[in-house]
Parts: sequence; structure tokens; C-alpha cells
Amino acid sequence: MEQNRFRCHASVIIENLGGVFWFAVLMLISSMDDLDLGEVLSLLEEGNASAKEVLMIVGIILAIVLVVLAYNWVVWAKTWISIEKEAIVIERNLLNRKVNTIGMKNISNINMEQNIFERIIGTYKIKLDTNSATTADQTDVKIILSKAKAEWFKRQVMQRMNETCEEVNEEAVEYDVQYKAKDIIMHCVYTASPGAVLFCLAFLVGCVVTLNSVNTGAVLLDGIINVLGSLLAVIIVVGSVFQSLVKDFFVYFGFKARRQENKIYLTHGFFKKRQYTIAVDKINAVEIVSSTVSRVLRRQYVKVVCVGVGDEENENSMLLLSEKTDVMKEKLSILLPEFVIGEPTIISRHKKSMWSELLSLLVCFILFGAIAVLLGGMNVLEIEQMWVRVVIVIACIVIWLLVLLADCLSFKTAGIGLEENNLLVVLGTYSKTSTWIPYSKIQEIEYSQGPIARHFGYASGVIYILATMIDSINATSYFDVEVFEQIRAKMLERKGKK
Amino acid sequence: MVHSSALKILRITHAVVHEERGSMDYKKLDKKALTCMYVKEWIGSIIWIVLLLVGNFLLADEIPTFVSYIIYGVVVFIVVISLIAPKVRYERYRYLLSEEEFAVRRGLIVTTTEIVPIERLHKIEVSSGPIFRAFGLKEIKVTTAGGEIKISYLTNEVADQIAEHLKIRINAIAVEERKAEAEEKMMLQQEQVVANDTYTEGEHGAE
Repeated sequence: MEQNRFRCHASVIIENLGGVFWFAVLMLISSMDDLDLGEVLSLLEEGNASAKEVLMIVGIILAIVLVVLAYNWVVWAKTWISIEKEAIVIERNLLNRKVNTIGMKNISNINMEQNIFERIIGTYKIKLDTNSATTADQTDVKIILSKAKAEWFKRQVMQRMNETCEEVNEEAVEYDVQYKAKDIIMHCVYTASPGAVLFCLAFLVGCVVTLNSVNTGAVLLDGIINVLGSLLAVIIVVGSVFQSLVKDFFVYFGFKARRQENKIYLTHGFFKKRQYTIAVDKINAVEIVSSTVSRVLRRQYVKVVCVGVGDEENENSMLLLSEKTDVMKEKLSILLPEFVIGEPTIISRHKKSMWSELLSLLVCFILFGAIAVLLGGMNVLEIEQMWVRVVIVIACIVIWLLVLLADCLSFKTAGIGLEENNLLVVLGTYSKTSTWIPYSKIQEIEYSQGPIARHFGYASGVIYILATMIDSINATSYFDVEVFEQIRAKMLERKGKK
Repeated sequence: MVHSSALKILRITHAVVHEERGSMDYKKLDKKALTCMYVKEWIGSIIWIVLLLVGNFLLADEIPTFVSYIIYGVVVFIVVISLIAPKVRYERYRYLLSEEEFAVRRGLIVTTTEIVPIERLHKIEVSSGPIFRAFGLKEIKVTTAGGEIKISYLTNEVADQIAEHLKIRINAIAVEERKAEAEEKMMLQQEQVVANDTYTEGEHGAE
């Protein structure tokens, strides 16, 4: 463990092979399976052209497999990682010599992750992220090491970052927040999209009705086979919807969080075990989200916005799962007392700002009105069935009313709160997201005014922070220009200002 | 007809000038910027007009007559816009450089105000393309961890002055902040010493 220059675990060769390699291997296996090698060889001796072609294809696939394998082996063999006093250096001595130096002071997060393959092999994937806006949408460095070496690496890096990193016995350590399987299932229900919930309910009702009809009718083997066949088809269709409902259960299985000094430690995952270490001073915002279902049931979950957590596919920056407001506040005050969620006076949208949306509503009204009149009233498509025309007219009215409802809801939800240290931006239509941003973390603000907004003295704005592409932009609704001037003044306050 | 259109243009520009007079802290661009804006606008417009007219001429037999009329309409629209837009943009373009912030306001129909605290600046880039060089103008682009903003059409002298001012301010702010942090640390240590002394005195008193 003493040497400071080392390579990744050899299993990285297999992990980096990628889809093309496994596709080629599968092709090779299936072609070998179909081939009668003796017959091909005898045909080859006879000078058969197709036998030559078959062998050539197999040879090409085999060559691709070997080349990919050899390339990954060379990359592994020629890549060296070293920990220096102020930086981590990753050297790759292939045809071009590439040296990637990451300054310790720029590292924002060092996280550990294990997928099923890594759990079997006994390795960990170490993910390093730096405080950079240009690389905020991806993990900067991924290193695969054996468990002991990964823990040693993390300790070494954190020591050099002037952070303490004690050896943690997962079983013995006490977490501030823990969720049981029931809580996680409830979180999945609260955060499910209404469409998915309705679809699953309809599916269950359909199943019951179908099975009931089999029971009451003549129980024939053919009937059961037909029903099972239809059910199988429905299950396949519903599968993707159902997967979206249960996916979160496996992602957040065993969710635990604890606060120690200036760090938050998170661990969760059923198949892929994730361990995140979040530096509190690197948190740029806290989001409190109520999805459509949880808004009705008065629940909310908490996400943190920072570089290094939640910047990859299937990665989430969840801090607390769905909770009642008072429980959420209590738990948040343990994990993140810096973001004590107060009750600021919410400034509502500028009353006259409805004028800015009138145009889009009018366009929508004209568009759907024209469809209803042309297809329903004048019947330009010469639809014979009267009920189809009635459905078209009703659909147009319903869509327009939904657009109007969405506009009214977003108008009602939108708000801004100016606290002493934090800015609160509330947005949402059917769901609601309250984003708490410390003024010191705002990188830039922008507000825009069209002719109507200029006339009435309001503007819509954007608050920029350091985060992934989606999280970095926090758009606000229409507020009085004075509100943006107040945010500007707060943003410009700093330590040591003369 | 031409007279009334010209009057309308004058009225629009007058309204914009009047509207911008209110914001006294913001600085206006040099007159050279207006000429540069016209040149840039006209280059773009000429390219579009040529493309549209050539396309219309080549496809004259294949496209219906009303499409040709629409194309002519678009051409007229581009000409009108290229006459009005640079003047309106120029009148609305404002920038602000203070001890703490760097801001720019611009736009044609929708005006956007961008504000960046100098403290958050990561990078300052001064550049100038061939058209800008021909007019002796430069562009400053500043980058923060959350994005970037730029001020275009600045004269060479002003751009260099702004870049220099930003560099000096970034360093000065860093020094001020370090000093404030050190003072804060010292105060905390002093408070801790006082607290420890009080605790020890209390213990002795109890004995």
C-alpha cells in the first residue's frame, strides 16, 4: 500500500470493453454454434467460394474481438495513477503521451460506487469531480481499484485535501437518517408520475375483470391460454411503466445519510451500491420537490445541487426521501443546518404579468378553435361518423382548458422569497419545486423584459449557479424589476467588502 | 407612404432613447459601434436576400406564385429590419462596470440585463474579429462557474481599460476576502480563548 504510483484493477479491462465487443463475441459464438467446422473445411478443400466467405467473416469477427481486447489491455497496462502532494496525476503512455493533473484543491467530490460485477470481483469505482462548470455534466475521473486500495486511495486524497477521513465500519456507524423498505416503497408511490399510476391501476382493474370473466364463464383450456396470451402482451406493454415505478426502490434501497463535521455521507443502492461524500461548502443549492402525487398528499423530498453528485445517468443527488414537511425540516436541520428552511414572505408573480401569457393562450385558442370548427363544424375531412366529430370538438376544448389550467396553476405556484442568506425560487405547474440558493453561490443573474413587461415594470429572470447543465439554470417567473434589483444587491454582498 | 414609415422609425428610436435615458449608471457605446452594427446587420441581410432571391429565381417554375410573393415579403421585411434594428440595438445597448459588478443590457424587442459580480469571475477574454478590427472595436467575454457574458462593440481603449480594471479588482477582492477571513478566524480564536478562561475561572471558583 505504500507505493504512490499504481494501475487500476485489471478488471477494468473487462468493464471497458463496451457493447461492440460483447456484440462481436455473441456473433462469434452464434456463428460457431451454427457452423459444422468439418464440413466447412472439406468444402474449403474442394474450393467452395461460400465456405471461404464464411471463414473470412468468422476471422474478421475474431480479429475485432482480439484487437478490442488487446487495445484495452494496452490501455490498462500503460495507464498509471499517482498521488502527489498537491495533485492526482493520471498518465497514459500510448502513442500519444497524455498526462491529466487534477489539483487537490479543485476536487469537489470523491465518491465510491459498486455495480453487481464489481461486487462479485470485490472492486470499487472511485469517481472524482472537480469544481468546473465545463465538466459539471460528467464525472471527471473514474478509477477502479480493489476494495482495500480504493479505501486507501480515498483516505490519501482526503488527507491531502485537508479533510479527515476515518476508517468506517459500515455496520457499526450510526446514521442520522435511515429509511426502511416501507418508506422507500411509499417514496416510489409519492414520486410516481400520475400517468404511470393511472396506467398501472387500469392494468390491475383489467386483470381482475378478465380473470373474473374466466371464472364465471366456461373454464376451457383454450380460454385460459387466450387470456394468458393477452395478459403476457399487456405485461410487456406495462413493463416499462412498471419499471419506472419500481426503479427508484432499487436505487434508494437501504438509503442512509449522516452528517459529520463539514461532510454528508450518503449510501444507498440494491444492485449498484453507491457511497457519496458531499462537502457541505460545495453544495450550491437545495431543492425541495413535491411531485404531482406528493403535492396532493403533502409530501416532499430533498435534493442537493452540487458538482459530483447526480451528474451521470442513473445518478441522483437525493438527500431525503418523501416526507411530511415538519419531519423533512427536522431531518434537514440535522443533515444540513446551514440551509435552515425558514418561512420567508413569498413574493407572488406580478399581477399584470398575465398579459405576457395572453398571447400564447390566444394562439392556442385560435389553433384549437380552428381545428374544432374545421373538423367538427365544417367537416372538411368529410368524416362520416358524427361521434368522431363530437370527440374532436370535445378534445380541442379539453386541451385548451388544460393549457389554461396549467397557466393558472403555474401563476399560483410561482414565487420568490428573499431571506437573509438564501434566495428561494418556487416554480411548478402540477408539481412544485422550491430551490434555496445561498446568495454567495449565485454566479450570475439575468432578467429580460419584452415590450409589455417594460410597460408594466416586471421581468422574468434566470439565476445561474455552478451545477450540471439542467440544475445550473434556475428560471424565475415574472416579478417586479425591483425584486431582481434586490437579488442583485444581495448577490454583491461579500466578506471584507469596503 | 415613405414619409410616414420614416416618421414611425424616428418615433420608435426616439422612444427607445427616451426609455434608456433613465438608467444613468449604465454607459452607452461609442458612435463607431453603431456603424459596425449596421455593417454586420447588412452583411447578414445581404446574404439572406441573395439566397432568397436566387432560390426564388431558380425555382420560379416549380413553386406557386403566392410562395414567390411571400419570399418578396420576407425580403422587404429583412430590408426594413436591417434599417431599424441596428439603431434600436445601439440605443438599448448599455454596460456597467463598478467596483463590484459587471453588467450589460441589450436587446431588440426583448431587453436582457446580465449581471456578474466581479468576485465570481474566472476568466477574462478580449477578442476582435475582422469587422471589429476594421472599426477599432473589441469584445470582452467574462466567464464564471455558472456561464459567461460578453460586451461587444467596445473601442480598443475602453476594452483594454475594462480588462485591466477587472484584473485589478479581482486581485483586490481576493486580498480583501483573505483579510476578512483571517480577521474572522482571529476573532473566533479570541472568543474561544475567552470562553476557555471563563470556564477555567469557574472551575477554580467552584474548588
